[in-house]
Amino acid sequence: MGWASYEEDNSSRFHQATVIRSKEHDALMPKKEVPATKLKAFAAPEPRPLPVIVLADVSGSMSENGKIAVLNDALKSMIISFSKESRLRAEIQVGLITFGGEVAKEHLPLVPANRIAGVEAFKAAGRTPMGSAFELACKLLEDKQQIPSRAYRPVLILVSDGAPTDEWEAALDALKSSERAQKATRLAMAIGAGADRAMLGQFVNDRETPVFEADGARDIVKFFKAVTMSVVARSSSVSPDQPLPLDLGSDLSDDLDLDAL
Amino acid sequence: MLRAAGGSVVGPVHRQSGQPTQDALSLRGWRGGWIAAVADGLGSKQFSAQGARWAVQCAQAVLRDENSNQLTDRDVVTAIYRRWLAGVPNSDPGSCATTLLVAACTAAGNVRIFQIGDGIILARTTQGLRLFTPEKAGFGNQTLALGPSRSWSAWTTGSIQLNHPGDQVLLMTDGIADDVDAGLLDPFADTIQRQIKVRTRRAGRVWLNREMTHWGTPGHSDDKTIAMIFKG
Repeated sequence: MGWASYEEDNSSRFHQATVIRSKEHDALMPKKEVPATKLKAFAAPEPRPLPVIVLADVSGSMSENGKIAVLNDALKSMIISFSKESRLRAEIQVGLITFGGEVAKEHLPLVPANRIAGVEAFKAAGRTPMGSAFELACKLLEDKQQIPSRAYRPVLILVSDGAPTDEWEAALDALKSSERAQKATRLAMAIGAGADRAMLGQFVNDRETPVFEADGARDIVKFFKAVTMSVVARSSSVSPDQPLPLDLGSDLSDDLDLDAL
Repeated sequence: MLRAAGGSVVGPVHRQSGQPTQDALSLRGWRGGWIAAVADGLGSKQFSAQGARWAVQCAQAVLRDENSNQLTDRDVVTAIYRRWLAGVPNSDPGSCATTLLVAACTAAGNVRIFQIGDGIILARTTQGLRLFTPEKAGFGNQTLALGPSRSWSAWTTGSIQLNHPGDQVLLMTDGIADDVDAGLLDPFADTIQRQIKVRTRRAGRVWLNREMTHWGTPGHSDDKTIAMIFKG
């Protein structure tokens, strides 16, 4: 190629056509991709899971003052927030266990938050079989198929407005002493004056986060927002295994609470 | 003939934040055999990187001693631990907390294994795969370590003989071990050996580092270290 054609090539390519040409040029450039490696086939294809398990009281008393409706909304918001996370460092998984009636039930099996299309709303009815919920949670935490050893430390959240109506002591002891389940971070929220605070106090194991007292709908929403922020911060932090304290100090509601004036 | 190769890479999190690795690797020849030691400093501890480097040096020093073959496993562990404690701050050895995995292979192919904390040590011989590391009881990043764990029961020890070509011992920190399914450990170790045996030790290290840098698990963040001793 002679000098003239070289110059012409340069001019025609870039003179007053930089933007268009550069875009064309970018498309033609080889994309920087992660090179194929021999060991890739052996690496786990999913990020490490960060399980969040909610034990929700759906006994008859939760139907009073619209508590169950607020709980449903708060959980829905939490799941939506989790599903929007980038899964950069960890994959947030959510499981819901409800206790109301005779025995606790797995309302939602532990699944990645981004795969949850919707959750059936809780319906409040019956007694408060909290011990049964502890047993179910313990079984889930001990199951290495559902929560592998590579998972980050799970978060267990207990929400209740009353006292257990079944044999809960042995089940709670089992949860607190079993090999894997005892290592989960346990948080609790007491809704209203009827909640068994002494029992909830035995449940929690995070010194920096005692039982959260919820006096009304606003507090329920506030608690779940704080949990969401803590879990999301963990999932994107450089060390997702370190539990982060719940920021319950600031009122996250936009309501100025002017009624008290 | 016994051969060995090892590699260690800084994890994406430390690389992005400009921090050094908290893993350590020491792989040295030993009178026709090899001593391999890998360590993973606990991320939450301030001086764990120094603790990890010191731990692999202590393991080398103790096992290279002429009389180390006559020491019981417990005596070897005690000697390594004492030496490590002598080199970390007296007031707070926990600030240097680290896991430690060691394989010492004589020229005759007799391998002794020592492990405290996370990671995996496995051996592949003509008799099949043998996993020395017990199944993990907790969740990710919860581990026993030099510093906080001072009991003999925190250690796993063992021995195995490498007699035939292809027999191998593989050590890896949890940055790798946690992301490999237990059912895939055998072909995983086999693939590594096949790649390493056609390369020089230095080229083997380059290959291992490249593989670990481009590790396949999405969102992987840990530092990664691996070492292998095998009968060529």
